[in-house]
Amino acid sequence: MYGYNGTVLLVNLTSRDVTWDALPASVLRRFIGGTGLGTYLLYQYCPAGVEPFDPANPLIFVTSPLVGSRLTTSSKFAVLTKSPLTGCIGDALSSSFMATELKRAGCDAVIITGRSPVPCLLFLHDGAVEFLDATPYWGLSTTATEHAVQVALGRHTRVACIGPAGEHLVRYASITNDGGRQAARTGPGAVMGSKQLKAIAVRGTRAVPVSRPDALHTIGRSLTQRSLGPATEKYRTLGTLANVAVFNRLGTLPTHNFQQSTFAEADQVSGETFHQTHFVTNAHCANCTIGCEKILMTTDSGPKAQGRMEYESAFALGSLVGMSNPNTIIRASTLCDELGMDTISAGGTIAWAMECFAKGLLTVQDTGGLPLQFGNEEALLACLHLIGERRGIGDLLAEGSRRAAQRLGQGADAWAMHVKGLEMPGYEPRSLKTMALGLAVSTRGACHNRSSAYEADFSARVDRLQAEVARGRITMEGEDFSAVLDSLIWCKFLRKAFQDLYAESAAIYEHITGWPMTAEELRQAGERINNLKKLFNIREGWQRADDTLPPRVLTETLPTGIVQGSGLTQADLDVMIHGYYTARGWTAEGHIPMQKLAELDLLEMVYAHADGLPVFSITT
Amino acid sequence: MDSHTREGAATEGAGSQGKTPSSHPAHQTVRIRVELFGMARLASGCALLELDLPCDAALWEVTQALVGACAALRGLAIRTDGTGLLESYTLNLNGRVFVSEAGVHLQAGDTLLLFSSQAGG
Repeated sequence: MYGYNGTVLLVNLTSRDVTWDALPASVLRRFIGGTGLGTYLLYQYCPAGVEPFDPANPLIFVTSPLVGSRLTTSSKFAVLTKSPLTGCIGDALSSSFMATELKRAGCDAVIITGRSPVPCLLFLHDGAVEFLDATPYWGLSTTATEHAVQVALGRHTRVACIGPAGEHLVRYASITNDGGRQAARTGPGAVMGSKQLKAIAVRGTRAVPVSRPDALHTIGRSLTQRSLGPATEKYRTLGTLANVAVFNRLGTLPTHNFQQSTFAEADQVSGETFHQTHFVTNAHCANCTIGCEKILMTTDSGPKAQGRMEYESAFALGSLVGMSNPNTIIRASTLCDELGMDTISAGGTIAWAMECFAKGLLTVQDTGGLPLQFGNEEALLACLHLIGERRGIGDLLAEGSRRAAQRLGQGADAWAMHVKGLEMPGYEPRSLKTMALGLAVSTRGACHNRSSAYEADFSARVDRLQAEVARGRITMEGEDFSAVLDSLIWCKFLRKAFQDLYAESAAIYEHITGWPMTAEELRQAGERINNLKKLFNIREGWQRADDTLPPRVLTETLPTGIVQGSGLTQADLDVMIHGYYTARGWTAEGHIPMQKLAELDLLEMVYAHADGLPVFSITT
Repeated sequence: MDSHTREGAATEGAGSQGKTPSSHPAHQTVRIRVELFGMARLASGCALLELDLPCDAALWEVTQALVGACAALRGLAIRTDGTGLLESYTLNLNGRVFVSEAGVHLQAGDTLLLFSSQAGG
């Protein structure tokens, strides 16, 4: 077999059983790798209806056929589990040497179940598996953990670990690898913590051969050249931080918990400002020629902090919570990384709490004396510490905005800005209508990355303030495109470098695996993967009403900027959702007809893993 | 918006698209503003430009006026021959309409936004 190991490693932390299973070619070709293969494995190995913190919930690490190929941006891996934040499919991507090392260790995927009786460090090296005592690392930050494990096992050992947030089951805890890269959205780090698994250390020396290395080298050189051209210019220069000023001008920068979509102090925390005043250097993932990561450093007299910064972190810990001091945003983002938690959900949940505080639903008695006001820098940083260790008000906020609002009551769910429990990213849906649909129907909750639906809104293709049925097909196509990117796995920042993603990737897939693949087969794989994600959610209790947006989005218009007065009604959203279900070939209630399942070659596995749950339904 | 403002004017009839000056109202000029974002702003040292452009301006007329007012944009956001945008940049009118190759209808006081075409991330 070329391009794959053809094996999955199953590890049970309770029994300490280790099993190697074969991954047949028929599965690999249909689900590719990364998110696609991970969805297949999750569907197969996750017992229907399992609680996310139940030891039986699998935590799955998946590489891809591209990993190890040295193609630019190809060193990525996916992490899948049933999300403790949403109860739906949880999938997150991370990058760099960990991906390569996992594949060289001899497997395409690792499935971890069970719960270790004591803190555990799982050490995989060239086909061997060791269960080491992680007690000395328990309580350490992510950076300290990675360093300590490398000291113990060798500096070339790659480490994926959790920080204190994962240990304390913060529902949006991340898994960190390679010096600060995060698989964060949907909270896989909390599942890792529930298994008392502090870290996975990997060393591998087995290169996986490719079928046609010369042809791959030629196409790889072309792709590298394109990755250094205009198609990635933004990512190579200011990075995603460039969004701040533009989004503010376009009225799409969520501010003060989505109460408005412009931030008066946006210029103080823009990518341009960060670049001029806080920029240290660019950083790259392994095998990446783009180098999108912006390493920033504080410049004031306070405690020094240095770390990566993306738009999503800058928005969630900036305008969303009313912070206009770039030093505070750098500190807050770095703190999230060290504690090991998703910056978007952390900022989103704190923004919800700040609005509760402003409305009098939370007081200083509840917050332990913290004046939790928008723009209060000390309160933000203190709050992050409390969340990471589930102390005081942090115990409530560690649950995420949906559960926290349910627990607080008093109507506080009206401004809990989430979809399916996942906090909203930095795209204002009332002024980006295609994105609004993408957020509402995404299988992992309020996610911008699994559809990239905003691309249409930032183009001449559509009027971004207009809701219409045709957005359904655009969103579907974006989701299938993204599923292929996330399964092969390409970095999304490379997407514009392809003249035709499907055709070029199909050729690359053939060069790597030696298996025939057409552009249409690849496109259909994207569709199959998204349908299987949806099937997983249906099996776990998804209902039509879950495809929606927060009440604020559907009832309040935007008060500021050039989009002042723009809103989105339930009727607008329903029209677009109808267009989406129709484009997908689903029923009006969002279920998948038998015919569609058969067309996508999904019937057999659906029946094999339905487990007879009453919540699972297939509409004929 | 703290960088200085520069002024420039479109060169009517320039380029290869065959558009010539006339007394037709469409070729009356209007003064508009252009806001620059990202590297376009940093490399040019300019956040805001004022341009005089035809009411119905072809894209090449806009881009030629831009490089006329701010030479640093040539090769950065605008093709070296000045006839259009590099694929890495886009122009948006008043935050609402993205400008296509066909051009844009302008009114006095309009604002064009010049920013990266690589949305999101």
